[in-house]
Amino acid sequence: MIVRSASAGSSDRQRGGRRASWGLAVLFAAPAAAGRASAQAPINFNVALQPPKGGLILRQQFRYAEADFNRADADLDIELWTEETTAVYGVTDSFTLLLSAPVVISQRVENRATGAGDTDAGLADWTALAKLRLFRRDTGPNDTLRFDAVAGFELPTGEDAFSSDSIDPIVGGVFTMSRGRHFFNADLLWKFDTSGGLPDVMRYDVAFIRRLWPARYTRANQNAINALIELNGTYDTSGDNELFLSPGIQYVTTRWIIEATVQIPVWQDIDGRAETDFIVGFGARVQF
Amino acid sequence: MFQQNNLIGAALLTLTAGSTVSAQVTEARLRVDGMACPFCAYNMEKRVKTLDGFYAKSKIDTNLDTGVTVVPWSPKERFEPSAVRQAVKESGFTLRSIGVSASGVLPAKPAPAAKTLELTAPGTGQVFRLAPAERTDHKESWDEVVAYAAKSGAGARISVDGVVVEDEAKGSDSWRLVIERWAPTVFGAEVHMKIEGFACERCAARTMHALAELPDVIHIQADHEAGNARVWTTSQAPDLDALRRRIAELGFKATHMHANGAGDKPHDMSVLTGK
Repeated sequence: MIVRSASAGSSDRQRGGRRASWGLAVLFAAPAAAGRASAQAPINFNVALQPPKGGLILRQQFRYAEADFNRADADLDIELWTEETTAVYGVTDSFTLLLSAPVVISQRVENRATGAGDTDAGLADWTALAKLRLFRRDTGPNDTLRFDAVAGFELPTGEDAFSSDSIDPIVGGVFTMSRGRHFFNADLLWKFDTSGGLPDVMRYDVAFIRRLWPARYTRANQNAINALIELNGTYDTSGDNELFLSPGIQYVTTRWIIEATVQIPVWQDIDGRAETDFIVGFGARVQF
Repeated sequence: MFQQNNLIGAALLTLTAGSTVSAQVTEARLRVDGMACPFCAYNMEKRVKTLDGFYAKSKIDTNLDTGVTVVPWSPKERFEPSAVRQAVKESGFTLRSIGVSASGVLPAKPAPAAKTLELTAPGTGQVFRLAPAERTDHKESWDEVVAYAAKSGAGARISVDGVVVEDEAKGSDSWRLVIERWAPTVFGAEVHMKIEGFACERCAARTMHALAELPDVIHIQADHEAGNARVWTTSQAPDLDALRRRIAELGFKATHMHANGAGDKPHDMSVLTGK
């Protein structure tokens, strides 16, 4: 997802490379909508687990982010509220379709020097992805090793301020390993910009999840509480880098999950777009 | 050797003077790998519930720690391991083994050193090919079953816990049930009654299925032509009022109801033990 400022219009797009897209870092640090709808999944990125054939999972997530944009010609505070609905459908046991529909509830941009501000809202770009399982090895009741290929598009459904105005292909892969009460996930995704005015973006994430409770499942209890720690990174071809440390917690039942996370930047090498201060996310998933 | 609830689960229904239904597989235990989370268990259970044999009146449950899902099986349906295997596959996990609780009738005169026995479920006619386990601690069970069949004569009923072993080279219908535990089907009491209002075979069938839902009942015979029924229970002092009420709920009237002790049970351990 790419969000430009209201002033970053077509003339800005002509500059290419390091353009002033305030929300880029903020929103692309959010999930990449690549199948993050399983229970033992990280909060901020993908998992190589899939719903069964005919299975449907819906996810609703809210995020609040604050960011700064500091350049000689502008000194801005940015506050961003987003809501994202994701639907995941199992075509077969190894092939899944995903549609992610984000909405910017409120983007408040305030000039620190003058105190003048502007608020905007609207649809952002939707993401449609397919996920194909290439490898699966189940070695125990809770033990599995899986790898999925991911491919799809970011679609220009967003309103002017929140859209790349182009159909951007996304390709990548996601890996999941589960061993007892511990889980490891990693992904790598590349989004190709076809608008000509924005850089390509690479996402890379790793996550470690530990089931805090119960230590052992029983027939009477299938619910669980998980603690998560994630590293969520973005690199774009204009040279910008950003890495978040993201602790989180999940309460998981057989039908639904509630979860919360905080994303804190631990490394920012950014020139030309906003620097995220922090992101708070919370949401729920339900499977049918 | 065999839990009481296994015996209860192995309820046998026999409709004389007409069609016959009988419990066979009463429970399947699926050992599944790869269920990493509660969502996984739900997805697996959801797909298994679509099988024809799933008995919806009982609860399916999964222990994620052991990877075992216990699936109640309908007494009216045949058990097809290939369908179970396909269901687990479509839910995205790996089925390691299928355990089964089943009941049926042994052959009359098996050879003393028989390597397989056919356990027939009278209801659907499905035949389970019983086979001895490789494990030493279960071999004794096999010898006991063969001896029991030889001494009991025709019609001996048993309940078994076993593991399904499929022979892929011979196709999906070729599978054996390797015995791990077994027990003769033993009853605590037999209740005789006359039933007013039986008009047809369907009335008798409805009555049998209604009575089978009572927790104490494990075996029923109903004869619509004679207008009577016999009900075997696990308890030696069955709740006759509960039986009477259930029959009344169907619009029939039970009369001349009385219970005998365990002396009239169809088969008992004395055949095996010689006591």
